[in-house]
Amino acid sequence: MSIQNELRELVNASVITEDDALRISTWYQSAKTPPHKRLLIIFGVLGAILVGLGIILVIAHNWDQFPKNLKVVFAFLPLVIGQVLTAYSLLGGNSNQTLKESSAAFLFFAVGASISLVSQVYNIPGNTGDYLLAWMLLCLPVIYVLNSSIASLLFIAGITFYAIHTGNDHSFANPPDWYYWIMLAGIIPHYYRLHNLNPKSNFLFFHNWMIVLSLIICLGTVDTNINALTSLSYICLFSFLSVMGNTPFIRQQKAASNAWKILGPAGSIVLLSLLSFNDYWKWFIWRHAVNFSDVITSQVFYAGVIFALISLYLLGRQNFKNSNAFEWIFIPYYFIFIFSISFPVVGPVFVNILLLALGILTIYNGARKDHLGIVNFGLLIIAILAACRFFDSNISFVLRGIMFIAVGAGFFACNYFMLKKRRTNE
Amino acid sequence: MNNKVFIWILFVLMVAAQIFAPASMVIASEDTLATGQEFKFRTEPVDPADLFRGRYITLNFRDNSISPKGQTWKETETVYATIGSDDSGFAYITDLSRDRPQNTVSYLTCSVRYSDADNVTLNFPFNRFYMEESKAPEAEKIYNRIGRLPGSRTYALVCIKKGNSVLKDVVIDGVPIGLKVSE
Repeated sequence: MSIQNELRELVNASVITEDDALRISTWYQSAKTPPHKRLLIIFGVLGAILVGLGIILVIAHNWDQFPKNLKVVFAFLPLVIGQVLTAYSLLGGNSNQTLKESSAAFLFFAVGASISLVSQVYNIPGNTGDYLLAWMLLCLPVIYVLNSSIASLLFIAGITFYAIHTGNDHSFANPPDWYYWIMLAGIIPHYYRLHNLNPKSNFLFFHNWMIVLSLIICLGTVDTNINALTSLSYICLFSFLSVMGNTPFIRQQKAASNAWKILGPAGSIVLLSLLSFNDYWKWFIWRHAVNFSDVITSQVFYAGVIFALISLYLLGRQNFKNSNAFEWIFIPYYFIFIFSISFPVVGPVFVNILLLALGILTIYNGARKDHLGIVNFGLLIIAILAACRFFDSNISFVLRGIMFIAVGAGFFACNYFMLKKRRTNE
Repeated sequence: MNNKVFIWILFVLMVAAQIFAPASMVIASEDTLATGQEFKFRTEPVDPADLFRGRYITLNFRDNSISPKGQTWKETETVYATIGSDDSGFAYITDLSRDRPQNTVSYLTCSVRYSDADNVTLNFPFNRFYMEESKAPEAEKIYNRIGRLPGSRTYALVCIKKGNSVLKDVVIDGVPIGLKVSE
């Protein structure tokens, strides 16, 4: 049913007045970006990227007929065109967002192209990591000068690629750097502004998903050795994502747009499911003995501690209200981790108990809120746990069978009682 | 400060930085070409498996190693290689250090490829020679074919100054590779 029909129905039922209906209708019309404008921005940006790349490819042909000085001039040409377009769109004020986004996309590629074309003229092979770092740093101001979301999205993609590239290049001579995290912090003001001014935009949707995915990918590049500390810091990250997804700032966004709230719990379940296997601990955690000096020299450990502290701060700011089990998961995991150093067998056993508790708490939370979706999500966690144990060959078939029957019966029973409760209340 | 003024100041600073980054590369390279010392680095054919069929020739160098002289060198660490010329006029590494040499300007900034008790092998910072798109694949074939012939002399002409280097040309038996492709 469209909003207009709903409003008419509410007016007819004397729930709201005609004036209220008009005001609500006007607000909806102003808040929504008209579809033709959205299309214009999409095609404008695509056009700018294609034309920009086309010019760069023509120049990259490295025409032998041209003297070196002319090749250098051509190397600067896309950059200057991009900067002139930027100045022109700035002169137009805030009126033409399509031009601003297109100029930003063009300038973004032009900066990278001119460094690369100069390198080509003087045969400078360079280092890909340094090149990406310089490119991204030079493009960070584009986001704020043009208030451009496409520049911001390209920037997130670029710094993620930088982190992956430098992360794969770790050695004792090239320790991991923190530039990715500093550059990611650079987009926070734009993200905050986008949320406040345009909370329903597609750009915010893409920002949510790209930032969260980038965080998940790049935490793994802090330390390329998969060990106990990596699992600890990832649990802290997933808790942090869940906490962020539940903050008033992000909570009010559309469900599909809230990547924090989707990927935080999903990541926790996937990681805990892996950690519930004895073999996983044997291969990735117990193999590298953890001692105190390893912990205090590990950057990935500090990354985890930072995520844990931010999560605690945010939970405290909300007076620990309305939080769910996924936001607290890092605390029991810290204890499991510490105990498993002295008593290795504790690890997988307690992770199984933790996952089961997570499922039960989620079901309880869903029942309390009378939310069938949350209840089934809790049941799904228990079903995943049961499926994981299905692969454990040292559990008897009978026990596994009973486990599956119990979980299946639980699904039926929970849904039946919830629906029955609802009907009684109606 | 007015928001619009701030945006324009940021724009000017951004434009300056974006121009400065490639311009500084041009200035450093031009200075090295004008005032640096020219060396001939003997090259070798590239293993066919490593060939990149694109806009440049991948170069492989013959004299890119030196004795570690009792020191330990870590892979990928940045080092300074002092360059000299032998009796036949080809370049070779005369010294290796972790600090910039003070007594000469003819040194390269490069990284250690691998190191053992007998040899330290370096990655020279000029292993690609860019050419016109249509000529590069043919040039690479010629470079590798002639490079394998006994008695052939292929070398890269490089200008060096205080760690910077610019690859000027690749010469095969006295003829620049661009002309060799046109022949």
